[in-house]
Parts: sequence; structure tokens; C-alpha cells
Amino acid sequence: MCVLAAALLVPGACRALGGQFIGPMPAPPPQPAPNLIAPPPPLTSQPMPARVPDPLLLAPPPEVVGPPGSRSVLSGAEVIKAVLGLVVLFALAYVGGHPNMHALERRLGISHLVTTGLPFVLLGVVAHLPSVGILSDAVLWEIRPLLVLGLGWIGFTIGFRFNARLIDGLSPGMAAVGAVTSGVPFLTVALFCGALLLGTEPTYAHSAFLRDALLLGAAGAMTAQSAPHLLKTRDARDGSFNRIWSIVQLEQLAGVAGLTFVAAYFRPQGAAVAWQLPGTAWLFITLGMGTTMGAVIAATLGRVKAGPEFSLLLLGSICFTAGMASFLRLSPIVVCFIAGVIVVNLPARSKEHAREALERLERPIYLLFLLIAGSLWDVRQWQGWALMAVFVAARLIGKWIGANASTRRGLAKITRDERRTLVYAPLGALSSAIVINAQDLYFSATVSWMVTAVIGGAIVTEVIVQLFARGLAAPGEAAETAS
Amino acid sequence: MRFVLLLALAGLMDAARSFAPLASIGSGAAGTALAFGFLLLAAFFLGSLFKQIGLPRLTGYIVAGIVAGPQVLGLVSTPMVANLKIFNGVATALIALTAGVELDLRAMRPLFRSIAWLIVVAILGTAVLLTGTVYLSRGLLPFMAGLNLPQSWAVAATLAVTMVAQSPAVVVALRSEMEADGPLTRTVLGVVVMSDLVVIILFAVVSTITKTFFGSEADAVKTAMTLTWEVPGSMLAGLLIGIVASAFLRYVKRGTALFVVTVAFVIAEVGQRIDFDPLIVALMVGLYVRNLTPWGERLYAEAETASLPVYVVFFAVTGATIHLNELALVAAPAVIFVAARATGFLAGATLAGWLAHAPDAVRKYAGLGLTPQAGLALALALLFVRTFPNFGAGAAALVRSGEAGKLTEPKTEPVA
Repeated sequence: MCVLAAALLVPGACRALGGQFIGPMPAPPPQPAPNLIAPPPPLTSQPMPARVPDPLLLAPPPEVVGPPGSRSVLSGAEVIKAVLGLVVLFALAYVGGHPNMHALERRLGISHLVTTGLPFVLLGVVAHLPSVGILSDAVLWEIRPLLVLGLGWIGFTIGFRFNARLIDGLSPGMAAVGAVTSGVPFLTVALFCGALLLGTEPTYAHSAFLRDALLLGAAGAMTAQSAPHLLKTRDARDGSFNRIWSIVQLEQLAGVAGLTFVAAYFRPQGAAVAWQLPGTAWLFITLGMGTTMGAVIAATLGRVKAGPEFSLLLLGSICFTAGMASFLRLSPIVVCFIAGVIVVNLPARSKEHAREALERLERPIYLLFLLIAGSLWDVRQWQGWALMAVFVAARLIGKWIGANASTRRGLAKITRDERRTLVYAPLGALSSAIVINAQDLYFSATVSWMVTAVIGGAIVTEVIVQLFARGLAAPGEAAETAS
Repeated sequence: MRFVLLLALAGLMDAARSFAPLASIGSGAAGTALAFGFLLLAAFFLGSLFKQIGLPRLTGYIVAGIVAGPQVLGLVSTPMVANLKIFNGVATALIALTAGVELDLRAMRPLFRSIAWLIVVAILGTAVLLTGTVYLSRGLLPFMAGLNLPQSWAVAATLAVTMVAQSPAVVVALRSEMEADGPLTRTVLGVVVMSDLVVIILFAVVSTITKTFFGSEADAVKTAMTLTWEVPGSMLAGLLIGIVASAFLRYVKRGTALFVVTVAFVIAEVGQRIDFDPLIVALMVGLYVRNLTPWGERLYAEAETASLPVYVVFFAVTGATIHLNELALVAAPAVIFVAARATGFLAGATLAGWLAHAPDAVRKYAGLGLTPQAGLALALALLFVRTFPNFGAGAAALVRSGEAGKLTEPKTEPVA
């Protein structure tokens, strides 16, 4: 809902601010056409106002050039150091994502962000230091194909959870609660962070601040998968666990929708991009690509049974889908998410094998993302810390308004325990994936600010959970029905 | 259905490629991921189709690379192929690891005599035959024009050693695919693995001698030290990694496939940068685990699981890098050398089998197993270019032309 509203409002808002909105655009200047494709005609009949090219959005795709310093040639010693360092870090990610570690976190009642996530962010910061040089800019550039695959894997895994049973199993009104508890924080975070970014970003005259605000809104709308475990009452008969779990899934849908919108409407231009299309066309291309790839993947996986060949096809399918999305400067998370939804809802064999394979690598990939996020984190920039404070506050306010509005409007019967869980639940790991995706889509100094806001915000919200929602809550409150 | 899926994948790939009009596009992360996924799926499905018509999957993987590569359809661009060459090193290390794990020295003891004769007669004999052939064909080779007699012989010997290298990759991959086992398979595997060591040493010696004929100061001590570092050093490193690997296999029950790929990656990327031979290092890891620990079977099973995607992409990339235009340029001498090489291996293997009193199958067919040529020959070709920059490029093109042989050689391999 909020995404739809944003889709309608953003173009006008951008133009009102004198910025550039990458919607319907004029044809690019005539250029040699190796594919014999004529430059597209103007897509609107109305004359468009003269626009100042936005350097951020004019950046050619990463296929052509990388960020400054990314193409420096690594010496043999640097490569050896990077390879061995990465092996150690990946091994730690694997151990951190091990089911035993997961079980330990559950037993202690804390999210993996504290047990393994935070150490990985710090490891990323350390690995990026010039004196350490394991995750230097050049190394980060070299391992970008892994990031593309990881983003696709995460998107596909989340989409794979959206089967018909999830929708059928929703309690009455839960979809509306999910929409409100994700939509309101989306708007508050986008609004407050947008206001801050408008004043701090060097390119405030253009639409980059809006893009960043929407990305932060999408990241702030979501809640950690572990949120249901924060409930005081976890009795299955109570249904609280399932209700919160359903809402968390729906919130992820909102995050993915936000990302879809941003990736479709904020796009690079220039001679290096052949398809000059309006944002709405890119929205449909995203949906079409995800659907087509979902059908192809379902047909592909139906060819073999479980085993090495199944793993090969799953890996190849996700890599192909994510690579294609990234190649077209779309979000691999979104396209693979749609493909995952299609695959899980089509009649096919081997879904359980696919689910196992997907979930086995999900946590290690998240940890890898936190590592990368840590390496992108420039802790010296005050704008990032300011953004974090605003982000956390806006998210808390949004969650509080959303949860209370759901209760007052009588959208569904939710207990006080559930309401508190929805308000105080920490940020989801998908939020960090969105930041990493932003780094894949855009070359921008503000990505580091967003990293600070999201990663720092995740840590702060986790602390809030531990201090207030758990420690200070009176026992027995949980069963009390709010409405 | 597989054919329909192949067409769908090709169509999607073509559509995606049309997004970026520049020829140089594809060198980035997205292009690499796209090409990797596409080649993995397309090569797998084409391999399955080839299997249905009675050909090895391997041939399908290579053909998929050729057709999708820059030389034919151009779905996978040259920069994409270049980025995917990272799999070459990993695949080579995985293949050597698999070969090492397969070499149960106790079980192979009865075959040692045949292996030794095959190396002496078939491998070294073919090297001598190729030296003579190159010398006699020097009129067809522009880069050898103007060389005096000793120089011609020296260059001919160096090229011959480069061309005599075999391909454990093809042998191991085909053995796995055909599930072949027996004296012939084990003998051929032992020969191609051991002869790689011989060829590496031989190349170092011959190229050092050749340099002296061109006025370079060949430093025998330096060459000896380099060889000492490369061969025994690689062996020692392999043993150390083998100890680590067996400790992992003993104490960790999950994630072994991932561990195997990581080890192969480290061996390939770090090994080549410190002048170790990744092939020898990985081979020693496998040999150690198979022959000195009880974890050989488990490592073999996990390596097979982990290596399938790497093999598929490796062979597809190999297909995509076959230089069809270079083949046309050096067609005449290439045909002569391929014929001489095959003749040397076939006749040499028959003679060696007779001398070693090997079984009939080894006498008749071992030569066929020696003919594939890949990774090591390409590495030596590059080394040749670096060592002799004045005429190396033309000679390297000649060596690379042998790659095309891989298309036909797998068809002869199933007799194993």
C-alpha cells in the first residue's frame, strides 16, 4: 500500500524539488547501434523540462567501471593475504551459521546479530583497514560476483517461503496488521531520514536523497525472523507465535516491494545502457523477469532428483537469475524473490530438497553480508551516525504507531505481548541485504551512511529489546488481550 | 524438454546481453554471475542431450562453450570468459585431488611396471618423435625462420615437450562419467599423473638449455633451485595440506564438499603465486589422504559432489576459449603434430605394453587415453611465450591448436 502510494507521489515530489526523476525520459542522443536497434522515440508527447544530469544516476553500470580504486592491480602478496583472509572469514561465517550456534541463540533468547552478527560487522571493519587489507576496495570488487549470487540466494529463499499455505494460514485481519506495521515505519523512516538526507547529502538538488530515504524505509519496515521467539508466551495453542511469524513474513514482502520500486525508478542512464525505458516499464520488466525465470527454474529443477545434479541446477538457476537482474541493474533480491514465489507455488517435485539446500546457506550468506557491510562502514562520517539515530527513532515511532493503530482500528485481535514484540523486535537480516544491494546498484558515498544507519540501528534495536522488552516487562502481561 | 529449456536459456541470455551495447561489456560482477549461471545450465543440458545420443557429457559441455562463446553466438563475451577462467585453477586442483585420492598405491603396485614403461617409451618416445617432426616441419613455422641448426633443434625440443603433456582433467572426468575401472583405467590414470611431473621437470631443463643457444645466460644453479622449490616444495606443501584435510575429515562431519572446494581454491590461487605447482600440491593431498589415512573414500565422494559444477563450467569455458581463428592459421602444422603425437602415443603404448607384459587392453588402448591435451599444455604454452618472447606467440598458438583434439578424443575414451 505504502509502496503504491510512493509510486504515485514520488515523481511529482521529485520534480517539485527540482530534482531528476528517472521516469519517462527523452531518447538518448543518437549513437552507433551495434545491435541495429534504433534509439527509442520519446515516450511522452509532452515536452520535458531540461534536466541536469545526476552524476549518481548517470553512473554507467558496474560492467564498465568500478568505483575509484577498485581496479588497482593486486600484487601476489596481496592476493595471497586476501585469499587466506577470506578463507578464514568464510570459515567463521560457516561456523556462525551452523545449526548448533542457532540453537544456542534460541536457548539464550538473543538474536544472531549479537552472537555472531556484531562480531562479523567488526571483523568487516577490521578487514577493510588499509593495514590489514583483506577486504580492500579491489578485493571487494573482485568478490562482487559472490555478492550477486548471495543476494539472489537470499531473495529466492525468502520468496520460497511464500507458498499458498502461508496466505491460507493467515488469521483474519493479519494481512492488514502486517501492512500497517510495515507501512507506517516505512513512511516514518523514509520521511525523517529523507529530511535529514536532504540537508546533508551533497547532491540534494537531485533525487538521490529520496532514493536513499526509500531504501532506508524498506530496510526499517522489516523485522527479524527471530521476532516470534521474543514472545513471553510461546504456547502454540495461543497462536501468538504463528501470528507474529506471519506478520514478519508480510513485512519482508513490504521490504522487497520497496526495493522493487527503488530499483525500477532510480536507474542509471547513458551510452552504456541500451534500454532507455521509463521506470514503470522497468517495474513490469522486473515482474516479468522474475515470473519467467521462476517458470524456467521450476522446469529445470523438475528434470533431476536430489543429489549433486540438483544442487548444480539450483546454483546455476539462482546465479543466472541474479546475474541477469544485476546485469540489467535490477535488484537480484527482488527478481529472485519473485522466481522463488513462482517455483514454490507451482506443482513440482523436490521442493523439500530445494528448501533444505536454500536454508542451509541462508545464515552463512547473511553473515557474509554483515562482513561486507562492516567493510563498507565508514565510522568516521558523522552523517551516518546522525542518520542512525534518526533511523532508530523513526522506526520505533513508526512501529509503535503501526502496532497501536492496528489494535485501535480493530484490524485483528492481538495481545499486548504481541504488540510489544512488534514494536521492539530488532531489524531483520534482510535489511542488511538491502544495504548491500544498494551498494551493488549505485555508486554513492551515501551507501556508507546507510550502512551505519542500518547496521548500527540493528545493534541499537537489539539492545533495546534486551533492556526493555524482556527485562522490564512484568510477567503475566503476555496473556492479556489488548483489545 | 531439455532442448526447449536450452532454447529458453539462450533467448534469455541474448535478451540480457542486448541491454549492454558495448562489446567490452560483461567484465563486471553481474556479467560474471550471468555467464557462470548460463554456462552451468546450458552445458549441463547439452551434456544430457549428448548422453542421450551416446556421446560423453563432457563433449556436450565443451560444445556448449564453443557455441555460446565469443567465436560463434557470442552469448558469452570475451571478458566474461576471461573472468570465468578462475575456475580453471580450481578445476585443475580438484581434478588432481580426485586423481590423487584414486591412486591407491598398494592396489596399483602390480601396475607400476607398465606405468614406468609407458612413461619411458610412450611419453619420452613421443617427445623425441615430436622433436624430429617439428624440426622437419620448420619450413611451415614462420617463427623458426632464420634459426641456425642448434637453435632449431633446441626450439623443436622445447615445443615437443610442451606438446607431449597430457590431460589428467579429461581422463579423470571421463573415468568418473563412465564409471570405468580396471587395469587400463588405473594404468592410464597413473601415467598421465606421473608424466605431468616428468614434463614439468623436462620443460625446465630443456628451456634452460635452449636459452643458452640464444645467447641468454642460463643459470643452471638457479634452474635447479627453482625446480627444487617447485617440485619437492609442492610435494611438501601437499603433505601439510593433506594433514590438515585429514584432521578436518576426522573431526568435522558437515560441510566437507565446501571444504574441498575451498582447499582447491587456496591451492590454485596461492600455489601459483608462490611458484608451487597446484597440480602436484593437490595430487599429494589426495595421495596422502588415500594412502595414509582412513578417510580416502569420504574425500573421494565429497570431491565428486563438489566438483560437478566446477567441471561443467571448466569444460564449457575451455570450449569458449578455443581459438577457431588461430586453428585456421596454423592448420597445416597442427594437423601434422597432432598426427605425430597420436602416432607416438599409440605406437609407444603398444610397445611399452609389450615390454611390460601388460594386459591386452593396456597394449591396445592405453595410447588413446594419453592423447587428450589441456591444462598443463596451456600453462606450458604461456610459459613458452614468457620464456621466448621473440617467437613464443606463434608457437603458443600452435600448442593451443591441440585443444581442438579434445572434441574428438572423448569419443575414443569410453573403451576404457
